[in-house]
Amino acid sequence: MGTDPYWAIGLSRNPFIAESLPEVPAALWIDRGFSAAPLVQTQRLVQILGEKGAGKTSHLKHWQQQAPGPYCYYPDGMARWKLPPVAAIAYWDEANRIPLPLLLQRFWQARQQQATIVAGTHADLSRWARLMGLTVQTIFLPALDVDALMAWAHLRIGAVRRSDLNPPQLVLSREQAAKIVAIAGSSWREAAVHLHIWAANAANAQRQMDSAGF
Amino acid sequence: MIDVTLLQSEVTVGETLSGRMTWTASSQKQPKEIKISMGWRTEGRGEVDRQTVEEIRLGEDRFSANGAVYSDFNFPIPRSGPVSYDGSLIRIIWEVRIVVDMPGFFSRDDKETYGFRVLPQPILSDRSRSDGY
Repeated sequence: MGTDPYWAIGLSRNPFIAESLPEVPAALWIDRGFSAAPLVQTQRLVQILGEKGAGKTSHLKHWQQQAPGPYCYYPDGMARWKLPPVAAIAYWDEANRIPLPLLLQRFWQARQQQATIVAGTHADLSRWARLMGLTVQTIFLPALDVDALMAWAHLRIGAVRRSDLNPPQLVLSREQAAKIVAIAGSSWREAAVHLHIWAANAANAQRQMDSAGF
Repeated sequence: MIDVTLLQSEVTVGETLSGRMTWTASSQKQPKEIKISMGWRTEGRGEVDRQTVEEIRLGEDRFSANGAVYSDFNFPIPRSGPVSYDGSLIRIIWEVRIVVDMPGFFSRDDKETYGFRVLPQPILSDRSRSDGY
């Protein structure tokens, strides 16, 4: 595909496109200390706290692949008025949006069934979980750092390289990674946007050079 | 094995993309159908949007005993586009897509895509207009 700018830098596409599914393939998973799924049937709330884009949903989906159980996402608005699932292990995403009466009832049921509830949340739910008799484990996702971003970018770039013979002509420098971390804060999603822009600019610049005969 | 030859790598809106698709069998199985389609999709930091603009389906009556199939195609590009675009956040990618539907529950369909670029209409200069062109 000679007209494709990413071919000019040895890639089949931009490494940082937004995927249609929130799950991260195992080969692209970066361990941040919480890769192992919680245990099932522990009568416990495992809540994962973090800012928007910090990786809460990614962790829920990663754990669900190891310990299958129902997953439920809570949108804003009236659609949040639905009972979350309770099972040996169940995953609630944006759990802070669950209306309190439903939250309390389901925590109570989780205690009755000795279930494990894994919740991605922006707010601390421990008070309500303990009130209903669950133990609580709280995970704070660490802030985005340069080393983690460089490792993740390296994996993503490697996943779309066209040939094992020639290394991709796209390498994230420590300086560039630090700039992106400074802009993105704790948001991996924001960092991915900036990485996408960086890769696109590199690909288009190389294509222009190739067209000009350099 | 799928092979596609496009007569153009770039085509202007309103013009026609022409090419030939050739499929040769790699096993004894004959496909149920071969679909040749042309369309566009988005790729980047956002939800994927896609549209199939033209499509040809080749049924079993087109498959010969030697396991080879070929088909010429001429797909008109809509005047409304969209045109190909490679931006910082999003791309618009035009492709010809071949899907060979193999029989059997456990059989994998053969698939290939071939990209090409759609260009906007050239803008006539004022001088050209005044010359009556």
